[in-house]
Amino acid sequence: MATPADHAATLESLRPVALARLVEIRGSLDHALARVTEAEAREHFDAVLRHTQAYVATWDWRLHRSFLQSYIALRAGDGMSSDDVIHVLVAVGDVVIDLVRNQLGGKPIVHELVVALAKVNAHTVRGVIDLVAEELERRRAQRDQLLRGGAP
Amino acid sequence: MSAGGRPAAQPGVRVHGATHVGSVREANEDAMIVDPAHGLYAVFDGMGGAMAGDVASQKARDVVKEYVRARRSQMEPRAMIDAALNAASAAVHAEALSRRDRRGMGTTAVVALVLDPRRMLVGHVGDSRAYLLREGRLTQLTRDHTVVAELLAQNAISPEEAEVHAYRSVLSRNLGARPETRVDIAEIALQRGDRVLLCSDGLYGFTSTEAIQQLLGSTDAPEQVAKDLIEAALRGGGGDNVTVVVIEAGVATVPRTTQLVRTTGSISWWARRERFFEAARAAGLATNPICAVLSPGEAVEIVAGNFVEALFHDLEKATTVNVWTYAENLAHGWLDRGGGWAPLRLLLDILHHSCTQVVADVRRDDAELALIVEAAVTRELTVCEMAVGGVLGERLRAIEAELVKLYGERQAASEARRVDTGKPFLDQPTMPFLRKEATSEAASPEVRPVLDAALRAAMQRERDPAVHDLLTRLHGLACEAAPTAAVTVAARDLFGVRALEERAIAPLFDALDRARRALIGAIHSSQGGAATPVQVAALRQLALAAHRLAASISGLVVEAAQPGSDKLREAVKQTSALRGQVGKNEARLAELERKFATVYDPMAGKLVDPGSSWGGSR
Repeated sequence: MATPADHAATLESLRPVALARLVEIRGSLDHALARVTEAEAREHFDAVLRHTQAYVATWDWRLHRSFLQSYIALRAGDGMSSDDVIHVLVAVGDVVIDLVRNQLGGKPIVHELVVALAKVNAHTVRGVIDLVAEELERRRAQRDQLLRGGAP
Repeated sequence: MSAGGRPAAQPGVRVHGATHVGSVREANEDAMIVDPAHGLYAVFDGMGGAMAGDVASQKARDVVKEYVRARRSQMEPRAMIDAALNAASAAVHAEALSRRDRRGMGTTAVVALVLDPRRMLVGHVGDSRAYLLREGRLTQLTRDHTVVAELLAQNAISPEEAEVHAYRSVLSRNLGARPETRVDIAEIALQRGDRVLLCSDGLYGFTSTEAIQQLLGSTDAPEQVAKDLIEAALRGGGGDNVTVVVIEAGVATVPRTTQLVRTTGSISWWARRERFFEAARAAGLATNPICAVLSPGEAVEIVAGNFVEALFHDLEKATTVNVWTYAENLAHGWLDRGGGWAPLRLLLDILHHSCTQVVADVRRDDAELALIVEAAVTRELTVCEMAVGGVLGERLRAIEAELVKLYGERQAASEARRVDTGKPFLDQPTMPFLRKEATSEAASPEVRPVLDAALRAAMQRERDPAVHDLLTRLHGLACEAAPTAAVTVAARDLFGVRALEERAIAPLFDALDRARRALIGAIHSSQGGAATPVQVAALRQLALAAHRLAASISGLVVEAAQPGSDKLREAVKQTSALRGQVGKNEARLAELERKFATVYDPMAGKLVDPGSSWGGSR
């Protein structure tokens, strides 16, 4: 049974390939990243992959939630809705899962790592929708206040 | 669509072929060979019009098939393919000379001869192609025999010139133009898990390379992959006959992960459903506010039972109710009744926790299977959360639109009272959430002239035809109460169906930005000083139109790039239709829903009259 650190190390070894693949298909994953230079897109995906590795190594939920919060805010500036953010992050996770299956096929760590990455995806979606639910509550309060004639 | 495929006689090789007339042509001039017994596979694309094209392709198919069958064990394979294709060329040529209405007919050919699970020969003439998918990467094995491809290979023209060259579809070689032809043959060393695709130009002409790579790289069986490729070409316009043959070499002797999940995994899940119910009961499912008026038994039967069944169907890839629909119905049903987020979150967590218990039980019996089942079930839980996320996102966008309206009214009232807040108009306070679901209103009679004047000014300022096109469309969408369908049609026109490449997408978004900025600039400069309420309203109309258009284009990009998401939508649609047929539990559910709706309102916290429906009836 491999440890979380082993998983992170394996992901680190796959990071160059994953980055190349993500940059290659960025137009399909993310319309905003389709418009930036390859270097910028690489930097963006690299940040996501490095965070994924850190999360797989530590499973620190607070760290993950904090990352998601910043990421949603950052991407809102690109015109990305919460649904878009969910789909992009899950798609990035799926690409890495595919790479793990294709590149490490047959190695004992594959199934474990696939499970770990599937969990990262599940936690990511959970985190984002929790944040959306909180945002929804805030907006409702804002609307109610506006309707009552108060300052938003 | 017709298909050809049967169990491969060669061990370790799985094959399937399919062909479709397309959406435009009246006749199918393609032909194919799927002959596992001799390891022979081929695609032919006939040409010549007036029914001669299909005569040519079928003639060539018959000749090649017979030639190889008769000499498979006698000739050296490479020489045999060369001779078979030359024999086909001679036969088609002779047929063309024999009748006036068949003059000039011919056909392309791409032939694969699988020598053993590790070696394959590929021969071709014309522009039908062979691709190899290895470790997720797609490589074109053949070089088109077109005039333009030959010029390009000689560096006589640039790749840019090649794309728009008038002769880009003109073949430099085919079977039938002359009695003999030059055949390009290559030997491919196959690796375990490789997939080879033979196809006519009806596939790659109407489907992006990326989509082909994605579909060919899926874990589905060749039958499903062939079907998906044909569907992708039809979605891309289906402007030509389309034929594909998918050959999978070096098939593993142990079942693939997806097969395991579909069979052993789903059975294992279903067999432990009682364990799931037990875990859900222990985690407090029955006391969750969503289930508060159901008896404990009913809560398990409906809420947990439906989830277990949906997940089972998803694991075995059935097309009945799935977890996406389950979660969507649950979220809609609860939130529509004014229910809060916390009970829904709690219920999702109970489902998650109960899944974990089932996986732990599987692990005790079979650790390896447990890992595979856990990955699949975790994926399903992700889907479940994504569905709920969609429902929440939809509500967030609705409330954002409401807020924009409220702010707008307040600002207009403030302007009317000539109160200068000193704050400039911002066109992005809540735009990220409006997207294409937002409804638009037609520009008012006061705003319309401002938009018209802005269009005229922007048209004079911008010279780029692409920006001109976008200026006109943006102006139209900003002026009219365009329904979502109209925005999608506009986006589809702009995006095109065959342009899924960086170089096509990025300039489109750049042009959209330029058009938007030009119109905004024109509106701002139409009157100096602070913006008037009419200008503000015009800017708002414009920002909404630009955002809806950008969202629609993004949607099309994603749709074109991810046929998987199309499949998901299609599955959701089918599920929705099939829900009506499920039936057998409907009477029971209706009774419980009625009881649920008539007894207790969680928001009011009291007994109430019949109200909205709950759960799976959306």
